[in-house]
Amino acid sequence: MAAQTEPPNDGNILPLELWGETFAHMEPYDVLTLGKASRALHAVVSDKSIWITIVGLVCKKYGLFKPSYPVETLSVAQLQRAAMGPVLFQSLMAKNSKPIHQVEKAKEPIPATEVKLRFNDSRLAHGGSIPPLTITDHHRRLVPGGRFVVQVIKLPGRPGDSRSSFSVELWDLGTPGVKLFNPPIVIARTEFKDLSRYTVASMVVSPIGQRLRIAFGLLTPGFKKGCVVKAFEIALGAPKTEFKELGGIFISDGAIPRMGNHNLMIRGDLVFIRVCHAFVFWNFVSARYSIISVDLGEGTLAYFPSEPQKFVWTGNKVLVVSNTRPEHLGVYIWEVPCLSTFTPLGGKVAALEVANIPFTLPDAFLPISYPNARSGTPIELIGKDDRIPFHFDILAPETSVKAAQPHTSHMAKRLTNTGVRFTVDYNTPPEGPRTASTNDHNFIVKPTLSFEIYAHTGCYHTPAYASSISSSSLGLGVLSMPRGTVDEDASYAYSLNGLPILEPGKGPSTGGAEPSGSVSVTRLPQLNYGGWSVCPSSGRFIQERSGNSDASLHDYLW
Amino acid sequence: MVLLLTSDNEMFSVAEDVIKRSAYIKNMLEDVGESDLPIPLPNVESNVLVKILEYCEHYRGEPLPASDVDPAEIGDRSLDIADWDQKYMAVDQEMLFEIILAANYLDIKSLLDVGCKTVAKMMKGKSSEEIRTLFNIANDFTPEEEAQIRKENAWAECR
Repeated sequence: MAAQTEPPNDGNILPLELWGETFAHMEPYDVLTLGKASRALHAVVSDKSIWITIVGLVCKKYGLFKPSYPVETLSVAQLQRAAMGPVLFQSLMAKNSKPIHQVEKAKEPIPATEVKLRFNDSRLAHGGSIPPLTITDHHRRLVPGGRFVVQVIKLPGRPGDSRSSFSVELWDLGTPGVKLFNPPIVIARTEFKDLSRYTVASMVVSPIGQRLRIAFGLLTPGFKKGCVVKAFEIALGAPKTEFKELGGIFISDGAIPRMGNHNLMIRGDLVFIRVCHAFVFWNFVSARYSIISVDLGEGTLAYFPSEPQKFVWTGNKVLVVSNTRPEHLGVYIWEVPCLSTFTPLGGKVAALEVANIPFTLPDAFLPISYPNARSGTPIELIGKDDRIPFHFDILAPETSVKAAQPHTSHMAKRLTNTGVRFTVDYNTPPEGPRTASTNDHNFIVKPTLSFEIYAHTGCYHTPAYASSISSSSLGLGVLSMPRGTVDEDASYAYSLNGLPILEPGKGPSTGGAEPSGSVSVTRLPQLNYGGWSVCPSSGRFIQERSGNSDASLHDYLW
Repeated sequence: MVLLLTSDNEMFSVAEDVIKRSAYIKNMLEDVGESDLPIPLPNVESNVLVKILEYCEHYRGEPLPASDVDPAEIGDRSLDIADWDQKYMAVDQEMLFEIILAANYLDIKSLLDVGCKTVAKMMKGKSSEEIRTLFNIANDFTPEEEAQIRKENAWAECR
């Protein structure tokens, strides 16, 4: 063999700059392993600039806010930890997993650190002159990356001013990868008054380079139901880190009973707001809007009820996976109108009425044929909600025998569910010429793999987790099961074994056949009260505490 | 036609639209204009240039990539390699590295990318021992150094 006669080389087979190019295509773990091969390679992988690049790539891949990692001040070891976060969390989940038929035995990973976080800085809010006030209402998000927290809190009136106000705040917990010792510090805050009768109902945070764009929805009770959506921006690294209000919009729908985080999205200058009767696209820069009406004229019964987690907004398309009616099971595709056709928001109060607008016919509909399809069949989107191709799983119980059993006890039945993962992709012929003018509506939906999962009647998808966990490239979805099926309410992340982990926006290469996979489950901390805000890539979970503005941080990695 | 002179003094005559995939040569042609003088390539041997030209010839007519593509683009990170590129890269290791070095020198971004992806793919999921075997690298660590590195990286292993 030629290799045996050659003298061993010292590992300097490529110059440093070319290793850097290669590392951009490698998993961080493989890069670490390479450094254990020889002295020369260890020197190569100990170069800080390489890890700065890798952390940058990891942030991009997982949609993390880059300032979460102040790369210039971090050591090589800290950078390596930051880069490995997503993989470490994934292996932690795998280590604690059980095969699906032993779901009851699945363990919850134990956090490496658990600390109480206090977010109520009375000195800032009230000049230190009065004791901390009770916060009547708040909403909080862990910014992807795990370092920052954005919160909107409602403060009651103060002496001399009975009006309540809202405070928008950015807090710093400290760089992930380091044990948390110091209390969070507030970096910036702003306040707005009015809207006394409103409460914070939802919030999204979208990292764009060094900036964060934040949109939140406020709801008011009473007859004149509607929501106010406000958008703010904050730039880190700017000379002065301060919030800038981008705008606000009032939407009157006649029926907005609640509003989840999944009903708001931000991309660039556009905010997507889903209310009962419509999808509203609001451009806060030009103060214009466009409406796609999903109102079939059935009163408050919307075409797509409040089943979450089935929207994908990519480019100028909104794709909705709907299971409202078995005969309508499929993917609905609307094109977002171009900005020039948007309507200016008139008058002083930027208000628009979205009820009683004729149904906007979808530009395309891709039916899904699925056995046992019925109304409300759980659907879970896997992967990012802004890329094509994307995947979703449909899970339907084998209804034939077991589900027909009478409810003789309060114990729900454990059922075998058949899950099928579908992929929605552009319908481009694999070997055909790529024409410049592709048909805008040329999408296909196809089953890519199937699996079996044991779950219980009454299991439901958990959007608070799903949006973070499924988007984290872990290839996981989340099901929650009610008390009675297991010892207490519990949430489980399920993952498909023996299958390639789905990269965001990447389809599995199945070669046409539908492979089947086994499923394992890992227990997640149970959602309660205000729930959790999670960043799996950093291992950090924040749990809301009821009654005050405190929270606790679970760091599963450090 | 463009004349190229390799490090081992072989002269190649190449169609301009073929070799323009090399940003290095493209820029040179634009800077100095038409010339009968060969372009010396002191870093490229003839057997490697043959291989490089095979690549350029195959992609002749395909649009040149934009020069300011951000290498950190997500799509770039996948290890998907087109079928033809995979076959093209099925060479011995020495040639693989020569291709990468030449692609870097000649500034053929797409080829450099394919080369680096090929190397990354070879290392994917391998242990350090397997990497040594793969690249014929001698383990020159002392046992103490090895223990030290294991200690340094323990956090990445025990989870």
